[in-house]
Amino acid sequence: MPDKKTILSLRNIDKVYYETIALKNISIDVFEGEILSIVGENGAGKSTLIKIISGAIRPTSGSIKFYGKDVSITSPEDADLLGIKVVHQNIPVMPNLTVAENLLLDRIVNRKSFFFNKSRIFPEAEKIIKSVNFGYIDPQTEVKYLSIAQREILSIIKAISSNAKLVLLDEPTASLEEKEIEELFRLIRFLKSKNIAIVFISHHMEEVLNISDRIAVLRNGELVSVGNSEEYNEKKLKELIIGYKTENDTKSSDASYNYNISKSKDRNIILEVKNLSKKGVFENISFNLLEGEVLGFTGLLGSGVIDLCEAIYGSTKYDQGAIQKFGKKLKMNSINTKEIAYLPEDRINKGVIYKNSILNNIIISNIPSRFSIVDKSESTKLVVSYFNKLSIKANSIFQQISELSGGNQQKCLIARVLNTNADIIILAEPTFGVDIKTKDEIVDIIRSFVRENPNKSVILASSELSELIRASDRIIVLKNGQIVGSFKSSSITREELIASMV
Amino acid sequence: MNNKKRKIWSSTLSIIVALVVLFVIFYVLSPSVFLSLNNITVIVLLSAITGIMAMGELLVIVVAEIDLSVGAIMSLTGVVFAMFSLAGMNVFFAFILVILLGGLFGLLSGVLTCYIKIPSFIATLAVMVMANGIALLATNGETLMGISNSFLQFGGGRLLNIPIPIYILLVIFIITTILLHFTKFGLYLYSIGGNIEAARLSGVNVNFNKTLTFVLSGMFSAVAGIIGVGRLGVASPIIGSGNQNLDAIAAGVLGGASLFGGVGSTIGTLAGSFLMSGLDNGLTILGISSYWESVILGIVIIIALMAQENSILVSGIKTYLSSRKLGREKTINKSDEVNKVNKSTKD
Repeated sequence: MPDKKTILSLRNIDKVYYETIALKNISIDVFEGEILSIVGENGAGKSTLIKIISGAIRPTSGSIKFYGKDVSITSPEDADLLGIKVVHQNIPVMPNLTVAENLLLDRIVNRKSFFFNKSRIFPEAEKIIKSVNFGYIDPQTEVKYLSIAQREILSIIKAISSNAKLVLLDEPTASLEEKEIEELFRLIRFLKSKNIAIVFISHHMEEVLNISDRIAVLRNGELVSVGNSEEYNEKKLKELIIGYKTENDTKSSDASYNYNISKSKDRNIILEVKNLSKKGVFENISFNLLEGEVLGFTGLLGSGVIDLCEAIYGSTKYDQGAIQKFGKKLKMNSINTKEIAYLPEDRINKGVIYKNSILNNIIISNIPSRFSIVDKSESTKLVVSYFNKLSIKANSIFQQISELSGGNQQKCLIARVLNTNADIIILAEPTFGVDIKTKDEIVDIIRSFVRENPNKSVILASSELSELIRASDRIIVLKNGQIVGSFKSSSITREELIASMV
Repeated sequence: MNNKKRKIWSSTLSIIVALVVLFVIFYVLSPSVFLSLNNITVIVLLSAITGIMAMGELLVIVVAEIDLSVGAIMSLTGVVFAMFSLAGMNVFFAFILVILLGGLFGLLSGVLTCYIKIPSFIATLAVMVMANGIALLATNGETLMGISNSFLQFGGGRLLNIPIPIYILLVIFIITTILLHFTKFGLYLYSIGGNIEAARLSGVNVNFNKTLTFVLSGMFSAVAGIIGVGRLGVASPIIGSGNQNLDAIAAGVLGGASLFGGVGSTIGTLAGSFLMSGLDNGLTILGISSYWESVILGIVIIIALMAQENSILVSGIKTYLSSRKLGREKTINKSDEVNKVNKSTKD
């Protein structure tokens, strides 16, 4: 685009975290009034790049030019002053305030007067909203009455309402419905017409191809391709993201492949999920879980994997369908740890019980007791046995769990799940946020669990694909809440899995 | 095992130190009276009503909720107990019915909080206002007199020359200790206070167990109500309208309980209520006006909370001391290191 001015140019940007290289020699320009999409799988370096541009982190080496001048963006405030605005996935709006108050809050804060006149800010806000052609959003409504898309539009309007040159949108469509995405795109195209540059990040190839002028592909921290969007199609993008050629789309398109593995080796079906649906989350999910099997689930953010796990476990509701264990229907939204045990995906908010000892944390789901009185010596013995089995490192079993490292906390939570003696255990992201050694140990724990308990089964939801492939027998891939593929993990590679996910 | 002992010890340490310091001060100021057996009995007797209500309040606090209705339930149950007496009911039958009545009001608080999701502060406030109103309605705002002697024994009687409320306090203390520290129920309460979502996903029936704490708190308040009638010899519909709610909460918090839940012990709470009644009694012996008592109690609560191990003051002092201990040389080294790190991140 020779006729357009370059807003931002990155040259030879490297980012090294300790020993891992997050970005390698990235050089890219962003022009006025263009929509540049950045695509890549999880961990390819997209968010690192965004953080560098927005000043949240600093590059290890390389230079950044803004309108041809060398700049060092050391903080988000620096970026903001330059006119670089970021709109994050989670939208920081105050639902109890009106649209106008949300929109103008930073200006109200900066005003010198003690009082502020509510009625005066409404026309001011209306002017801003009208200027971007979203007149139907009433500045006097409280934000809690807006849809998610409207909130997102509001936070974009807020970001651009003062001196915006470059807007970074980090997965803005993740929680939107199709109709809402169109609204968002209308805003993005409007910004483009005002000569604002937009950097757009999304997992959805159709959207990327639809909206972008140019597309940049990141893989393992490297910029592997950049060009006008007409040069790409969905297949080519996928290949670039994965880094190898898919012969044809057999595996991902042939979704019906091997759903219900035949009763090979005469194994019984332990859990049968039939047409499970939850509006806007997952749709028509059916599968069988065999005895002694580790069944893996994976998908990109928003694919519905975690929601599905919670529905099966009984901690949330679903709209339609049925879950049967040994042919007996399980009640919806009712937790019974004797039947199914669950390791939540969010260790910090949903897993660890703070201010409690390691012992309490492990035995809570199935407390050894006589007539409701806790059997302390039995509990101690039990917990010590888990310490040995899972090699948990701690000074004492009576220590506060918060004093342990993340990996050891995770092992304690796995011990809690094992201690239920349930026939089915569901593990959601068990290897997330733990060190590499612990990841391997957790895979071993899962494998030895089904080896030692041939009548019990594991449902393993993970976005860490190498661990998933090593731990599972079969892997089911979800996309937008639907099953799009089912594979034997012995005959699939990481790359093939990614290809079916994106 | 050591670790656990240390844990309980450290959370109740400050209250026990405070209790000892207070008793030493009063002993020095009035050596002949304060530590006499008679006066110790008076202190424990004084703490009985607060202590019993504080045990129920503790259960509620451990699950990170609060019960503001204990004083009102005390008034109402006392009045009803007296009316049963005037109606000529059997004393044990009346006792059981009144305890159930207290539990019923607790159940109301619990259901409002856990199932209808009204914050406990508001739900129990509503129950408090309601129970106070019913007590006044039932008595027409008057104090009930002529209660039969057998009904007054719970609060005024003696056994082996020790006032009966002390036995009742002991029984309630033991029941609560067993519930909180030795049963599955107790472990559930601590886990709910520690992380309510994690507890739910671990299979703990969060709403049921939380509701149960309110029920127990209501029942214990009813016990306090019965004792209150016996202590005064009459039933006043406003007996619990004073500081009772806040005393019960303060006793638990003085004893190391956290209003954010997950922390608290029965022994600490008992010590907390002794501290308050000891202060009350000591100041009375020294002839200090009861108006001053309230002021001093407030100051003691603030000091005790600041002295707790996890308070910002104590941790601040600890950090300061340890930084001084490191010595000059080490501090310099450290700042060098910090500089290095800063430099490398800048480069």
